[in-house]
Amino acid sequence: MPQDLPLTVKDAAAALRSGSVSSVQLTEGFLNRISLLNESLGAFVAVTGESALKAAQAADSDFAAGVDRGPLQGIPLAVKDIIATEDAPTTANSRVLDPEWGKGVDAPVVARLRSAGTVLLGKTTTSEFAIGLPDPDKGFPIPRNPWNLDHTPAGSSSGTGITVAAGLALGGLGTDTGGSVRGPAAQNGHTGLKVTFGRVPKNGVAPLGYTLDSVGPMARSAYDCAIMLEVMAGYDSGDSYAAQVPVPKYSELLTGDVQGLRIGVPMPYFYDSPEVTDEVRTAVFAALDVLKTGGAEMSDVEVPYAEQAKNANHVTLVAEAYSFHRNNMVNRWNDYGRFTRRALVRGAFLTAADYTQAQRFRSFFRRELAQLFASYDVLITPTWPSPAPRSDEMSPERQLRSVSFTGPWNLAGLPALAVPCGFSSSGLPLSMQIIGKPFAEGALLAVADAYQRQTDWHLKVPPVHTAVAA
Amino acid sequence: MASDANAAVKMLLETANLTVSEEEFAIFTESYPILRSQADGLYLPHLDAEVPAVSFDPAAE
Repeated sequence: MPQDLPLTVKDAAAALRSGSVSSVQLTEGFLNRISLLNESLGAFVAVTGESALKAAQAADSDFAAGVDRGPLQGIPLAVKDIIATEDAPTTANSRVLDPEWGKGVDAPVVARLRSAGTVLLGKTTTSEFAIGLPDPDKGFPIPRNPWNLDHTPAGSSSGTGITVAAGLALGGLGTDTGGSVRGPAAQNGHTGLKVTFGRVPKNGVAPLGYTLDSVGPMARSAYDCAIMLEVMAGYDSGDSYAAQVPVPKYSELLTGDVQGLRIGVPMPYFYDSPEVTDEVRTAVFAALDVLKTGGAEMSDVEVPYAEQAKNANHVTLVAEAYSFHRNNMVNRWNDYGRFTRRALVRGAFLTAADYTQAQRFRSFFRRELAQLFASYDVLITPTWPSPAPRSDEMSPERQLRSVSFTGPWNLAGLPALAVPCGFSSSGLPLSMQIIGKPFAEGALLAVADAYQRQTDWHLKVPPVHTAVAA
Repeated sequence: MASDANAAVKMLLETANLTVSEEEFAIFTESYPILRSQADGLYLPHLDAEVPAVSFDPAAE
C-alpha cells in the first residue's frame, strides 16, 4: 500500500494543523485508493466523492480562518450502510429495505461527525441488515479480507473493517449487536469499540436487535477511537434507549499507565474452548504479559454461564430482528439473501416464552457480572477464537454452533474493545478483547492505548496491492 | 428425533406463513434441535425469582 497518506486520525490531524497536507489532498488521496481497490475489496457500497470534497474544502476554509472544530476536522471517515446519511441512500445491503428509509437525513451520530468537520467518503458494505453473510446473487459488493482475499473480513460491519485496514479511510462507523464491530476489527487487524448500550444514539440506524444494537467507532488505534467517541457519544431524545450519562473527554484519560490495574482473565470458555487456536491463545497471553510488565495485576476468574449468555443474546437478537422483518419475510422471502433468511427465520422458531426467559437470564447475568466487576477493572479475552476463516467455509449454521466471545457483552450491555495483538502463521490478524463496566469506555481505551504505546500490531498494513495484482 | 425436528419445523414454517425451498427445509431441520436446545438451556432453576430485563415507562411521551 502506498505510504503517502497518514495511517491514523491522530497523525492526520497533526498534519492538517501543521499545514503539510490539506483536507482536500487527504480526501483526494483516499478517494484514489478507493477507486483502485474497492472492486477487489468490496468495501464501499456508495462513494460520495462530490460531497466529501465539499466537506474537505469547508474544513480547509475553516483552518484558514482559524476555526478549529477539534481533531476530526478535515478527517476522512466512512459510514456503515445501515446508518442514514443525507448524501447517499441507505440500503442495508438489501433489496428489501424501503428506498425511502432514511432518505435525505443524517442519523444523529452522523450529524455529530459532520458538525465536528469530518469528511464522509461514503457508505460501507454490511451484512444484509447486519446479519447473515454475503449473497453474490443480490447485487451488492462482496467484502473480502485485505490480508487474504479468500478469507472473510467478518461481519456485519465488514466494509468499515476493510476500509480501516486497507487504508481507504482513517476510521469509520460500525454497529454491534453480537460482535459486528469487534469481529471485523479483529479479523482485519485494527481497533474497534462496542460501546455501552445507550452510549451512542442509534436512531437513524436500521434495527437488528432493538435492545442490543450499538453504534461504535472503528479505527487503527484506541486513541483514534477515543476522539471519535468524544463526538459520537451523548443523549439524543430520538432514541428511547439513549443514556443520559455525561460524556468524558476520553482522549484525556489515555495516560499510558496501567499500574495497579486489576485484570480478570476468564480461562473457562474464553480460553479453554477447543475452538480457540493455539496461536490466538499465545498472542493474547503475550499481550497480557505486556500489560503485566506495565504494572497490571492478573487473576484467573470465571464468567458464570458464559455459554448461556451467548445463547440468550442470540435468542434475543433473532426474536427482535424477526419482529421487524416478519411481514417482509412472509411476502418477500426470496428478496432476502440466502444466508440472511436462514439466520432471521430462527425468530419464527422460538416462542414468546423463550424470549422472555432470555430476558430473565439477562437480569441474572447482568447482576453476576456486576459482582465480578466489583473486584476487577477489566476482563481480557480473545476477541475471536481463530483468525479469519475462508469465506467459503462460513455459514449461519456454523455460527449457531460456534462459541461467541463477543455476544455475552451485548446481552449485558457492557463496553468491549477489540485490539490487535499479533498475526497467525498464515498472516492473518489476531485480537484481544477488553471488557469493562457500564460506561467505562475510557478505561478500556486507556488499557488499549497503553498496550499500543508498547506494540505496533495496530499499525500493520496489509499487502493489499500485491494481493489485488495477483 | 429427526422426524420430530422435521414435523416441528414444518409446523413452525406453516404457522409463520413462510414458504421455503427443500434445501432450506433440510438445513432448518438439521439446525433446529441446536437452536431449541440453546433456548431450553436458558430455563435454569435458579432463575425462578428473576424478572425480565425489560422496562416500560407508563409516563413516557
